[in-house]
Amino acid sequence: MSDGPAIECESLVVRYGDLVAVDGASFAVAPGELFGFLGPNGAGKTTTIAVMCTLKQASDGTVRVAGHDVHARPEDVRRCIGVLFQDPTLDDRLTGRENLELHAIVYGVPRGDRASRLAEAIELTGLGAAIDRQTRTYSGGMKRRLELARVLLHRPAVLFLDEPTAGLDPQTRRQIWARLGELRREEGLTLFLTTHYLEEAEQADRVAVIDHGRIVAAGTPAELKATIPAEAVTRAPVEPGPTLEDVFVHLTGHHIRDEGADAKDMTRQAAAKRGRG
Amino acid sequence: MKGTEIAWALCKRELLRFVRERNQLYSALARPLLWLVFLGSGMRGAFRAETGVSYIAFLLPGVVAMTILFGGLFSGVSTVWDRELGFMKEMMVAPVSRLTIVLGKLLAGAIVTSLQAVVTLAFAPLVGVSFTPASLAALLGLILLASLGVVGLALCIAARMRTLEGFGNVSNFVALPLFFLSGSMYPLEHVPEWLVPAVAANPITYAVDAMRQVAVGTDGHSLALDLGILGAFALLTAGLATLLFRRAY
Repeated sequence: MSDGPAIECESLVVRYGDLVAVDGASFAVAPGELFGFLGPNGAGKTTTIAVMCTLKQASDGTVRVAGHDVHARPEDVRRCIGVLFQDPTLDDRLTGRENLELHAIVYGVPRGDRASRLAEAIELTGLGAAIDRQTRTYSGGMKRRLELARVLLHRPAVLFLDEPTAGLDPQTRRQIWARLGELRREEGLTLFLTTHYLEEAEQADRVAVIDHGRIVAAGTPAELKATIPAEAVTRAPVEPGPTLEDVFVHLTGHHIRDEGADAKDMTRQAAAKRGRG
Repeated sequence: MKGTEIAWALCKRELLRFVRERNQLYSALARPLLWLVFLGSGMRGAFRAETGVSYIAFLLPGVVAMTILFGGLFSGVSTVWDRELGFMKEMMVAPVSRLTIVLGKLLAGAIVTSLQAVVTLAFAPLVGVSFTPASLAALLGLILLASLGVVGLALCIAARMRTLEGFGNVSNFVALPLFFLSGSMYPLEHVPEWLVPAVAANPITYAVDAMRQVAVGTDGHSLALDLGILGAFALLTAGLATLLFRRAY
């Protein structure tokens, strides 16, 4: 990868008809950084990821990932990225192992490396004998572990994680983060994370808070906490200092789960309407 | 070549799904038989046209073409289903050309569709139609070529469809005129003047014509014309599907 930022997003605008899902977002993520994207449902997080991973076209603005323009050179971008989508993307009639094997071929893992990478991925899933069962029999947590192992198979330089641990038990969450931490240290993996779990956002190098499609603040968790007045801290005073949740509520005026379903439905409906044409 | 290996892996994945979905497998294989038996025995009495062959023999290549048309269009369901599963997104962010993705689907769809058509052929001896090795080989080639075109068409439709209902509606709407205006069930000599251009513009007409000439020896267009049109149909739909797949997640 080049020396420049791993992700560069300038004045990104995405519209679905009349609805503006992303409204002039700008940010840059350095190689090896863990960048957190924090916002309520429907704030524009998933749409921003869709643009960065070449699935959706921006209405305006430029986005570069690993030095390549997502609009002009989508194939070059795809060679450098891995995406863990919010909803499962497994083939439910294939076994866990078959899903991994297919990914290794499609994502261009060199033939000579496949056996060892597959063994390593299977180990990481911790699925044991279940790896040879069709994935439609898996629980949500099993699917997530399989997907994480899968997205790491081809050693992406930039990894997008859209709510990677939503609905997972704490133990699985810890396992996933342990492995991601290793890859950041060993291979300089860049992570772009959207999350509802504020303690996940707390461990990010930098966090951007997005609301109604606009980035309302960005900085290290400590910087963000330093910007808010003491009266905005909403928890019992026994706990020290503000949390990112306080930052979020202070900046956006509502809690992170507020108005969730409505805004999300709006985005989904607009997307569905557009896709049907 | 890398693209070939990937297309083949994607094709194998679709075939595995098909085989593991038992109901789909059995009904796909049984459907052409029902058409042949019920339509053949029901329509026999009404059939008076001078084709020089029995109606059920006349019908056999028509049912083969029909199986290709309906089976091939149905194969587009897998694409809509992939989107529902989310699997399509995993493909669309992969570093592979959209053509490779389309080729994988095209190949799998054409194999499954051809298989169904071949099942129909197996009943040829029962309706008094026999093949030479040469005519059988020619038929198999025609079946594969026509299947590629129809599956390509199915992919064009499925590329933008988000629901199975939507896909079902549109593909039925497309299938019926292609079916009725192809000469698969009755000879085309007596269709009214105003329908003639529609018959001539229907690629399935040429599939039926070629297969009927090869299978039962009726007169028709030159085989070169049939092959040219079917080949162009396959290339055109594959190309269009590739363009449409660029925004198909």
